[in-house]
Amino acid sequence: MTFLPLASQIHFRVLRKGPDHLLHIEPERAAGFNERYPAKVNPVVKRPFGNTQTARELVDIDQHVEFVACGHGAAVGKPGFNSRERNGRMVVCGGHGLLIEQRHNSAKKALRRDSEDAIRVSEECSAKRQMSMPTIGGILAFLQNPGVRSATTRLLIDELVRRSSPEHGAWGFITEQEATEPTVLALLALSRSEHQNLVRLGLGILLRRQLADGQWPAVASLRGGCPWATALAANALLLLSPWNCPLKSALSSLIRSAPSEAFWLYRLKFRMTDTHVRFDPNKYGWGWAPGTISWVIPTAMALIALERSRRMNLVDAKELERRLDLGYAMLLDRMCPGGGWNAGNSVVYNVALAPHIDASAIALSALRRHCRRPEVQQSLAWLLSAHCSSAYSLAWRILATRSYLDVQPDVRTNIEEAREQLMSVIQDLAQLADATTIALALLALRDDINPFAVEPA
Amino acid sequence: MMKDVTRRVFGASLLAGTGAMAVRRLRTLGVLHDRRKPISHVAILYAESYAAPLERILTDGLRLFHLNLGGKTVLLKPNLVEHIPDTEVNTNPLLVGAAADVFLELGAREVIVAEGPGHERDTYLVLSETGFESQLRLHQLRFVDLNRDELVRVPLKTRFMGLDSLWLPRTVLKADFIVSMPKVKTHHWAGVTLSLKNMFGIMPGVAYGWPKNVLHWKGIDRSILDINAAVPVHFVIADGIIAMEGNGPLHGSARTLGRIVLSDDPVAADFTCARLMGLNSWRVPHLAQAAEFLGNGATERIQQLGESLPRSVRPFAVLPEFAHLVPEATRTPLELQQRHPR
Repeated sequence: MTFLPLASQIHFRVLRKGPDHLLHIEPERAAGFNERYPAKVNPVVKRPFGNTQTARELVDIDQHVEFVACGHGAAVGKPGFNSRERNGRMVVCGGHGLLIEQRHNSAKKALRRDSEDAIRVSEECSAKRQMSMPTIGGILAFLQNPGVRSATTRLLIDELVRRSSPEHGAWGFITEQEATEPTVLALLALSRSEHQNLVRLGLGILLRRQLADGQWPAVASLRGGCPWATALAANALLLLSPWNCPLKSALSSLIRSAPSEAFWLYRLKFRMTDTHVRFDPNKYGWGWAPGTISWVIPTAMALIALERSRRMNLVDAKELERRLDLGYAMLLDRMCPGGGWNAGNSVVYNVALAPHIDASAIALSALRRHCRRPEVQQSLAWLLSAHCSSAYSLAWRILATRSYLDVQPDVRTNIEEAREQLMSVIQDLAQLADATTIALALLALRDDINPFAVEPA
Repeated sequence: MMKDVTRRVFGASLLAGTGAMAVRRLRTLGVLHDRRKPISHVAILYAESYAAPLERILTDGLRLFHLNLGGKTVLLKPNLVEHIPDTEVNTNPLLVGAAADVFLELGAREVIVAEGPGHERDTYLVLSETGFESQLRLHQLRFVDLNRDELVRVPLKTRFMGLDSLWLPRTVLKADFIVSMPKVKTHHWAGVTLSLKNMFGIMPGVAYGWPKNVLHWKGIDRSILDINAAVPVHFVIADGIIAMEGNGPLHGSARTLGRIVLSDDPVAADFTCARLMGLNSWRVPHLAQAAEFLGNGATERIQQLGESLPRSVRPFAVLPEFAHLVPEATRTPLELQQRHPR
């Protein structure tokens, strides 16, 4: 049995349609693919489509066919699966010896039969440390079977472990270059897995990367610290190593770290000359880097870290309260007119900006203690209704809304739907290019951990 | 009101003019390396809409430049900011797909599309919502998220921002042939956003924040000069089929220009685009300064290929802060000087 690896999504171009409706693949691509999967692809590419009307309609010259390799089966599909639902690309799907048309005709029955296989296949794949693309049936099963969710979780864990740096315990975004954000998220995602050695190693590396001023750099090779990376690292320490001395210095550095608006001259500038962006410079939080102004995401993450540490009395309580109050005020001030948050501003040159899902989700996580405020309720309503096709944003949305289960009755259903969608979209390998997305997806699919949850007031 | 505008026009022109003069002085002192070619080439291509045969139009246009791309890795850098429904914010993905195919046909070993969107951290979402994702799949192109690519420290020879180095993405530094593919737009901070400003997008968000906040604080015009001095753009394909005027780069109005501008010099490309926009390029500080050492702005040093510049142009609408870009405004002595070949 051949397992197709994760990178098994290939695009073919139909060069010409022969008299027998053969699918002709560009030679160099076919050669590369056949080399890897000789037994599987030859029958596919040379298989006549048959003389059905469907084949004639769907396979046109120069049409691109997306071949979705499914599970352990050979792709033997007739092109009957609805192509138009996939942005005009035809999806030739197969697996388990089922023709796609058969699935289409007796969809539910076939899919259920497949789903059991999909679970087994996923488990076998993870045992071999390989990723498989679940079948269509598998996707349906994910929606219905919590066991498959754990199988997906398992696959994501394996992928995350595979991506750790050669010396283990550090992660990069899309390359191996060590960075704080992917490392922190990966450590959090793996924190309750069997990979405790890796987590310990990673935590050691993370602590070694802390700078003298208590901050973390965004990327290990950068010289200066950044509030976003520091807030993320502080959140990780709160969960993984709460009584560690570096946590105290991280929190202190966050409290000390002030954006440009903290200085009166900049406030004056924003009041007198730089007036095209509507915001109150008296209300400030944290920027992406020292010497810049406050932005929503770093502010929200710093608030989460400080709020979660409140009970530990690691920093001066008065200063902590002051920065928390200022930060909350800044977030509420920068909220978009219809709810939710853009990157940093809400109105520029009199134009209201549209909210972003990730920024809104992280801001809502931070504002949990203010959940009864109308601005928060409005933003939550926006987030729950926001359409999203991306794993990264979906994961943040799930993590944020999990904090609001007791606030609004429809949150639970919304989370389940979002999780189903998340499990569906991560089948697209392009979505998992970044290690942070894998880690966030893992955290979003797990019920036992939410490192960004702030306790209700 | 009129007095106000005149004062602003004078002030802004003076600023652009003195900046350019200072850059010229640095060049003559040998502090700045003069990278200007004796002659730059620009081709203006007509394309009525994105439904036009873009591949054929680009093939015809690119052949005019006799590019040697054999075995080279071509990096296409579109302007991909974020998706705003019914607004032409980004370089059209159809143009990017067509350009990729043409470069491959011209012998490129590989074509990579790379960008680091400025506002949205969720790059995949931007790709998917803007239609780039489907084009990437269709043309089997590799995309690199420059916000999260491997960082390499590059010492700066120019110090407009006062920084001694920049952190740049390895993919950009490794590319043999960099193609800036801007959307022709007005810009509420920089006046215009064309091929030079488009290179702001290569700056990694992990190092400079979203939206590249560190560099905004160092000064947009100064950042543009340093970035372009550090990473030379080899070619420009500017999307002026549907451009943007008014409150660009996100919330302006669509303006159909029906043109694609190709050039082997980003400064020449931007000057030509600004002329197509009916705006005075010499009054855009980063363009005036770039024309002193990065490329050619003076018409005498730009050889026009393909279609010629239109005789009259209805100027793009601009925000009041940029009223001085509209040519009816007074000319500065520097501009008068620039009109003569140096």
